[in-house]
Amino acid sequence: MSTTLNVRLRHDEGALQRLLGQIGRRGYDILDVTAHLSADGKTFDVRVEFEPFIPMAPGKPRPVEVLPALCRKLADVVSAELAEPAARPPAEPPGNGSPHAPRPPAAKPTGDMKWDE
Amino acid sequence: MPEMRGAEFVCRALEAEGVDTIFGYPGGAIMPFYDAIVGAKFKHILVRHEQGAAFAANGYARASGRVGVCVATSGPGATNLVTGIADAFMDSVPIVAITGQVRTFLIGTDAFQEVDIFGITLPIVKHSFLVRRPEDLPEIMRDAFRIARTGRPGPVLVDIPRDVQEGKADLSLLPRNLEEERPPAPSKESIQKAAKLLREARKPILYVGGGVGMANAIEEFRGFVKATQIPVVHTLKGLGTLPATDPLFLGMLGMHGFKQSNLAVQECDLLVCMGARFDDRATGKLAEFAPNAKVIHMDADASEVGKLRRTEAGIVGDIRPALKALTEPLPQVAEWRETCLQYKKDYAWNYEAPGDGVYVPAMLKELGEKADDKTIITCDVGQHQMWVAQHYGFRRPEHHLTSGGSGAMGFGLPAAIGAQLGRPDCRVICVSGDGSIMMNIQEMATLKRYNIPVKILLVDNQALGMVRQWQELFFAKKYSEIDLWDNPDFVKLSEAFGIPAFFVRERKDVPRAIDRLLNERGPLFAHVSIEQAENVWPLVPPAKSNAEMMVGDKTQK
Repeated sequence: MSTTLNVRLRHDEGALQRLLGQIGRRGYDILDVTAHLSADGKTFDVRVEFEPFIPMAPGKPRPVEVLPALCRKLADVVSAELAEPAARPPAEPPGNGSPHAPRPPAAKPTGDMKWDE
Repeated sequence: MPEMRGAEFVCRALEAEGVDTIFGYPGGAIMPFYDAIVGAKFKHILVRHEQGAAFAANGYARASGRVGVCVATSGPGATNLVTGIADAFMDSVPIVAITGQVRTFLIGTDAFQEVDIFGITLPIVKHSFLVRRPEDLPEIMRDAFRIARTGRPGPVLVDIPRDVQEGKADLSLLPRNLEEERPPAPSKESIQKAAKLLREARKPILYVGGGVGMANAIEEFRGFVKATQIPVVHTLKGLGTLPATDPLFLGMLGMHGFKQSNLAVQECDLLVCMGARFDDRATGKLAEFAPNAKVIHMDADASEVGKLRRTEAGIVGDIRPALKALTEPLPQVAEWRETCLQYKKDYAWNYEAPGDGVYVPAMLKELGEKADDKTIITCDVGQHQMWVAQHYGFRRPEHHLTSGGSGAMGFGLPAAIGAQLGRPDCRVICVSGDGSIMMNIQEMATLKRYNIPVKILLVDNQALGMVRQWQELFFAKKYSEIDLWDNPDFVKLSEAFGIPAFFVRERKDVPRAIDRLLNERGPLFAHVSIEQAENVWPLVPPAKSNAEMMVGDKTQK
């Protein structure tokens, strides 16, 4: 199930790449992004729809609650909050070409894979 | 301040930050800066490879408590810094890396020695700047140092195109906002929740990482331990936060932790994690780590709390007021404390190894006992690193400089150079292995050039020992590319660099070698030969719980 993260960040060098890189590197798959520059050109309002993609262990998804704190520690992030579930846009049915169609789950580990190595 | 070139301003900004030493290597795109540092108030140390500059800045920062600075040119100079920047990121070390960049109008054209170092380092910096105009430098230089040292420290990159270094502008230093640099106090509610958990606990353990030392909370932590009498285990980077001589110190935990430490953690009912991050080398199989414990997690970095382990009480912010508020006697833990102390007695290390060859754990124990409180040990990565962590007996965390998170071979020698220059009042010893030392051996020339009195204790088993150990234990003794039988003659090599050296083969020669290392005034190289088959014990096999330790034959019971 996807989750929405709302971020305000300063319009600094590389701020968008830094934010999206942080989300992806920490094991969350970005499904949709919108970014709007403020009228004065100083801040971006970014809405990121994401879902945990790389599990922490078989059958154990990464907690989404950690992501706002991971984003807030970036120097150019002003605020980062998960959207309330009610405020999220309704999910579109899969298989109709929608950009919100869920991705297939991560490949299951092979028998030899050592998750905690 | 009058109109000045960008490069001159960078020098003035470094001086204003109190920088007394920087480490670097010049080249085309950073030449205006090198022109400007002639006559600067700080000293520049010319390393022989940019990776050495980054590691030296790291050692300087960790030993001195100040921000370390390294400098390189664009392209290969900048990419050579990358491993050192990543190391500082993983171990939360405050460094500012200044790189030259091609002229602004050439950026993006594949110009000579152009590389997008800003983009390359995005995942491994706390923050980074590409300076577009000279007039942006005052704010950027102030922010670079502030960001590097505040909260959870880390590396900051400042990439400065050559024309920005050469460009003139009216540039004035900006005042520092010290108030802004203090971490926030944790919430009262979180402290109350933690206090309740502490009062209810019967078998608590303190699991302490490098964050306590970084938060300058050592005295508060020691006061907390003294009052509560809770047994303590340390991560690799936490070693020394409680002195190894303290009876409540059980040892390091994790993959090469002591048996008493891992057993105590597995049995505890409350795990108080302070400035640590549930790193996989500490936890073993995470799902089976401290399986019966509730968790209090104290950290300056909110994103660490709950990242890998569910937390009953998260205390985020300045750890010092939290420790003070939680300091009260816990008489109900007396029985558990005795159990842990009995474990410590039962699994005490046996330093009487058979044979006449050098037994590294005993040598390092003797070194730790003879060294005074102003001795800093830097390490490289591998078996010797774990033996140092297990047996030296640290008394302060800033006396143990090791590449913990990134595990970068080649760290030890340049970090020792940085540590010695950051703490000229201390004795600095680099303990290295024959694989690691060769990764930055060129910095012996830096030792010689500046007559930096670093001592090198090389533990040579003519192999990549840790890899050899894993191939022995987990790859059916199928040894692959670990044999270093053709190492150079290290004594002759050291002498070729102009640094006196001596060789140790037998155990009986160890005391004299240690005395010489501790008493010689200038740089010195001790080459110690050991058996290739020596292994590091205990060992938690990969993907196993910390309860499943392998203990070898002659070490812990």
